[in-house]
Amino acid sequence: MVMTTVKNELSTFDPVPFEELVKLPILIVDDVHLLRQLLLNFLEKEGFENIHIAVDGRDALKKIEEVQPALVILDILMPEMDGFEVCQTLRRNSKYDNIPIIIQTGMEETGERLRIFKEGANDLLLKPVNGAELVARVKVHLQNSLLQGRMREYQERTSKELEAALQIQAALMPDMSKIKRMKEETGLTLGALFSPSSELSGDFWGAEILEDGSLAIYSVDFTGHGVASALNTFRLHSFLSDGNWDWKNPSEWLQKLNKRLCKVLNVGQFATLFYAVIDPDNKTLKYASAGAPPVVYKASKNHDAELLETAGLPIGIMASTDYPTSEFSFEKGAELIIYSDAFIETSSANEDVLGEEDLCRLISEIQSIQSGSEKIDHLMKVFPGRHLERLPDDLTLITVSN
Amino acid sequence: MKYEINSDGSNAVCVLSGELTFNDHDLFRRMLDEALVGGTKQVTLDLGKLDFIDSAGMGMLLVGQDKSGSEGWSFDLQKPQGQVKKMLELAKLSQVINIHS
Repeated sequence: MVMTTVKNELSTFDPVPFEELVKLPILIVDDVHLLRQLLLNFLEKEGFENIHIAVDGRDALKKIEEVQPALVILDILMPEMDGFEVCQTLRRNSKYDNIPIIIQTGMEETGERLRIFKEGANDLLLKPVNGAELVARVKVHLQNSLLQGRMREYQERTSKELEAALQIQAALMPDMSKIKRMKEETGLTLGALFSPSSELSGDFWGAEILEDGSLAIYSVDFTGHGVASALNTFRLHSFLSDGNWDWKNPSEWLQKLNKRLCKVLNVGQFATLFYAVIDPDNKTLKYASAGAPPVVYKASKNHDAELLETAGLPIGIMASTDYPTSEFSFEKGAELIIYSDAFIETSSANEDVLGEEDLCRLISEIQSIQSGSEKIDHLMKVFPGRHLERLPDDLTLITVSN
Repeated sequence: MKYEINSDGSNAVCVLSGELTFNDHDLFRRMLDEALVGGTKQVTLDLGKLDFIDSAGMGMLLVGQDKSGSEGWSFDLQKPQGQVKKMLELAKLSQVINIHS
């Protein structure tokens, strides 16, 4: 029984009901009265009820403006602008470049018939036109065009919705005014860049000014990118906005966050995270890390650059994981570069990925730059992915300097 | 990613090559299913020829580990090299999955 039902449904599969198709405006263009009438009869007999006529190329363009046809059946050889020119004109106009065009032609030579497609037509009918074939082709093209239109609408709507969601996501991260306030209240200079590889990002970062004048900062990268990982960034943000978090204590903070994420993340989903508390009064940097990429660090102007040890099981995998706190000095002139893996995993045709030596050189270079945003600009000047239209993964880049 | 399975009926060794990334979800699942056909007790992923892994790829390794725990077979990784070795170390995956050099 079930099998039969499925089979029936398949055999009558019709993406757009015929009653819908027959109402769509169709334009027939031919300079010979008799031939126009013939095509009209074929279509009317089949039930099409919205058919319009044009007598040459110039008339066709006028009628197209008037009736906005869903499909054009076009003759080639006509006085007052031939079919090729009509085709070219329509295809150059973004308003009409999607209208299906069926050319009716007596041309038998392959080269000439190929030209029809080159000029932008969708299909051809050989003269003398066969009625059943005409109707079949008209139906196919109307259906395709309707479905493509719906697909376009769907894509436009989805991309608008995702754009709105990205704005919400971006608004949850510190903006320029918050970064300015951090400078005023902690004396620390921040620079930050957040660049999703698709509509939404699985990267996220945040910073808090603590009561004692310290700055807490975290950068997180959820597995994958796009909508699913972005939803996890929203989750993380809402966890962190409610409840008592021991922001002063990286180890406690990270362990608590890990336990909460372990409860809600599916197997195979996790996040790498770097969490640091910088105390400008005591000139210390305390951090804990869950497998984030090694952070670039310079203790002061005179110290050598080094990479901080950041190995650790990502959060969301095992609730009982310990994340120890490490402590370093953070003198006047000290500098940090925190980044997501895209910064060191992206290469381009001409440039290899950034290596440890590059990172250590870069941190020395940005030390002499005053503003956070200019430090970021400098780093982006050497980022191999800077010219790519679309990054392979989300990119976050943060600089902190004392 | 590409893979080859060498199985003696109870032990299956999957030799992975290329890159294990976000795009390999379905293929990775299919590989495990194939490796488990006929009551395999032990699945080892040989990562010696794997050049690159991203976070989604590591997620798949964790899925394999989780599946083995709930279905009662054992799951090991062996011979990670280069970037793959670095990533597994950075993420300390040896805390949750057996990794042999």
